[in-house]
Amino acid sequence: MRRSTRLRQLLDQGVVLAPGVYNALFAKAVEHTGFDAIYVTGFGTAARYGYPDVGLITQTEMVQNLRHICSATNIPVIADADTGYGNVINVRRTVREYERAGIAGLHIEDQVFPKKCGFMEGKAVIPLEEHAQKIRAALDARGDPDTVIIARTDALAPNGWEDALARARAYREVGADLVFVDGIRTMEELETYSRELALKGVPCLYNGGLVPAEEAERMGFKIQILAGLALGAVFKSATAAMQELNSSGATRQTVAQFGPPGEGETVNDILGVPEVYELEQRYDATAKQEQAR
Amino acid sequence: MSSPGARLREAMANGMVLAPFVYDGFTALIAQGQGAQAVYMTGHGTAAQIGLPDVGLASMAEMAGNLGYIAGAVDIPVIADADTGYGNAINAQRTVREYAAAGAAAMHLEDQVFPKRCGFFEGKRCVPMAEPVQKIRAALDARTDPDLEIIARTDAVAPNGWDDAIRRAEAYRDAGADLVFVDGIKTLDDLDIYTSRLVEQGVPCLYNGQLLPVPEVAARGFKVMITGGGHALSYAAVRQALLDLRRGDGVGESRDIDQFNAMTSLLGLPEIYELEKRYAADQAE
Repeated sequence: MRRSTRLRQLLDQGVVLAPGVYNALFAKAVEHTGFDAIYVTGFGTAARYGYPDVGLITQTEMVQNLRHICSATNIPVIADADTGYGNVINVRRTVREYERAGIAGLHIEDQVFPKKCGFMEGKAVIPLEEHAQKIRAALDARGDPDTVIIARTDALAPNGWEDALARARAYREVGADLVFVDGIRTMEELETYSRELALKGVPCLYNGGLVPAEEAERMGFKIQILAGLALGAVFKSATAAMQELNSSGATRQTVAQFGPPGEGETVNDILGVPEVYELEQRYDATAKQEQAR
Repeated sequence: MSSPGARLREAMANGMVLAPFVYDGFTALIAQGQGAQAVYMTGHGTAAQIGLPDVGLASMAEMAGNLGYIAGAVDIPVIADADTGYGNAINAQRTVREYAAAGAAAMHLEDQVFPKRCGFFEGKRCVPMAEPVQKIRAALDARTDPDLEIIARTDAVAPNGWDDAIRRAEAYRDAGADLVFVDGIKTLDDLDIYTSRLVEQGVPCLYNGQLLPVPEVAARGFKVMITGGGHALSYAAVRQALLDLRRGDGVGESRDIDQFNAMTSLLGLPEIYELEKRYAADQAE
């Protein structure tokens, strides 16, 4: 089954919880810990390349990262496609490149290019009509009708709820599979999001951890992503390791905090080192001679 | 500004250089933010983040690409894993030029058969010593910046034993390698042999591991130490966060604004806001 089809199946069954990662190793960790879907964060992908999330990372770099992540995993991948990296024409190419990389769904937002992280200051949005056309272009560009197109609006911070809701409804109207109001900071905002959209039949994505998945489902959400999960864990652990290294000349305590990974769950295990040893034996030149004999 | 290699040499003149393992721009920025003098780009971690085991599957282009992001993200010198040089002496020469262009301060080339495997894996094999000697000479000749440090690594301890490893390390040093690096040091006994038979004989050496705390390794006379949690620690931390999430922990809390601000500062967001003001259209003369 295609991963896009699988994602649609999951959406029919209840809320889809997709932890955010930004490289193939962490994506594998998501799959190995039993989640149904992976979210690939643009913030994290930018950070991985050493940049803040302000539209400096190119579509090529995003696609490159997605290719590695999709190759390394089998579950549906939902990807950040920022503004689509330009106008409607760029959006068409972005959808096709993302599909070829192997994603199941992607979100495109209505910020001006270059964009900013949904939680940063200084966001600005393009006119509603312009983004509605970008969503239509994205839907038309799909080579796989099951690819899930998610329309994101960043209008809440700069323009307030009225505009954000109008935009979300308009994007759904033109055919977006889901809408995604980003920049939800408080329970009050989350309740408004739920009441005005999610519980009124508009399929919605929630980015954040204000409530657990079961509660998000009760609030009517179809997808919950925790975009910052991997980045936050890396920041905390790598900072702690550096501080320990500076103070005591080792990283033992920081490493010990996480305990040894279980059987078959080390980095080398999940990257397939045991399989490589098997393949080496199977294709060993001397083994071939013995078979020929 | 002096070249990355020159800055690394300057740092080494003041004592052992500690280079923590990093595998991307973000972890390099974290290390630099905590005062690291240099960072080490791990090949194992570079392969891991694109989903590959460290058995020679990641290409030179992928390694150099990652190096470019890391060296571009930080101001401190980057010591980079260059595996076998990705082929013969000719390939090694191209690798040196690509790594130099990507911003490396130092790089290590090893004597394993291609495709290689992680220094701590089973089943390593080394090519005859004359080949890596020539490869080191080729690498040295390919430098345009004489300060770029060429580090000769030998993987011979596990397959061939210490006598061969010592012979190789000495030969690579004689060929002109700036440092030698005996990899796969698993015990304190190994580290003692490494110290007495090479470091104390005046051969500049790199130590990869965490058998002893940093000051004790420095006291033994090593020039460079590469260590730290690297991608294995990140993986463990991410895995823990995922397991917590499955249990329902870590949600239902408000966003950690302090952490968000610390991360964005590290990534240079305040500078971006300043630049936006400086180059705003209404600031044009």
